[in-house]
Amino acid sequence: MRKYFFFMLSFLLIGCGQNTSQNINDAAEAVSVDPALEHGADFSGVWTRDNGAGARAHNSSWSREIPDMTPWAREQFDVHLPTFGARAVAVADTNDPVYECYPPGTPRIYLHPFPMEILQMPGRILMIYEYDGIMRNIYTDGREHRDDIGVTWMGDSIGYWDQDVLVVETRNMRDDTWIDREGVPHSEEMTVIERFQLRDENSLWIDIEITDPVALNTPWVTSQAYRKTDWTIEEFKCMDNVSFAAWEDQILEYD
Amino acid sequence: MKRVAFVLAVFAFFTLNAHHGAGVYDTTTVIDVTGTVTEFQFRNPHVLIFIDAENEAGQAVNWSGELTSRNRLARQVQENRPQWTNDILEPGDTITLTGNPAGNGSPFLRLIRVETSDGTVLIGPDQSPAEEY
Repeated sequence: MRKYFFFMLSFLLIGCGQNTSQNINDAAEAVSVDPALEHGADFSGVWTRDNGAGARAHNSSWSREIPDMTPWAREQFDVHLPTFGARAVAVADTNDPVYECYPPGTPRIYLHPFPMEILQMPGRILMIYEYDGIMRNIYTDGREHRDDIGVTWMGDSIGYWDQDVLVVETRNMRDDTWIDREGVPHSEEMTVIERFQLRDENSLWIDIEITDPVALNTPWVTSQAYRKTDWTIEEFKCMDNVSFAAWEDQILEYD
Repeated sequence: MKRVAFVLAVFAFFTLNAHHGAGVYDTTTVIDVTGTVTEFQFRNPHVLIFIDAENEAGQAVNWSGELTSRNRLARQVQENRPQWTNDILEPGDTITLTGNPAGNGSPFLRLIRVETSDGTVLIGPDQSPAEEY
């Protein structure tokens, strides 16, 4: 009986092993059509903004000039009270949604001075932003944009490889985020195209094109640069800003 | 010696990851405040240090100062400066805080420099930019 038990156990184990191998083979076969295996570059690592690399973005916006906004967008821009740029107000007076802990959205997340980690795997690239632990999945397995869940904070992103350049298209974003930190609005019709490429193994360059038929008369074309670090991504939650405000309030309320 | 020294100078050595307006602080003034650590909060978005220092009337005043974020301090290894950790300061330590004071005269600082009683500079320039006038 015991021999039979071990025989059956061995059979089960071998069987499982074969199944597992078969599954891996199936998976490998499935992703072998993934362009990521034929082209592409390795963006894996933790990246921090490289302000000296000549990108068009600066601390609070995508260009020094205000983008070419439609009257619809201009009307909203005029009532937005940012804490950066020529129209900056004090934090106490701002209506910047990020100060209410709304996620910054895509592409504004790149204007916040926090590192990000890129994890690359067959068919998918995972971006983890230190700011508020925000993440984005970029699917490179050939799927289409989603039309089943409505709009989201960071949008839905699909990507493909143009040789060593990863081209990412993001759509379906909520319209209650700003494109930058100076109050430029967008609609749910916004599309963000990012082109990721390595200038060298430690230098990541992202060309960004923002189009929005409702908000922008012409595409807003810009870029952002990153350098690789040996850091790990740590926790940074927006909610800590809220509790920190209690200390700041003591300054203003000091008698 | 517990003292508060003032100097009129524009000083921008240490850029905070300012999420609040800099208008709270008088950036034209830099002061030193020496006292005993009562609390150390190694936190985001800004690290906080609290010390008790005597004022001119001999009364204890609780000062507090903010640095940059915990994440940035934990990563940032300045030349000739120690690695910041959650126990780099303990209650009871005597330290000197240097920074821009709040514009309304309240005991709050935007910190530029922290020095321990044995002369170890934990962050900031070798010498305090605050000078007695």
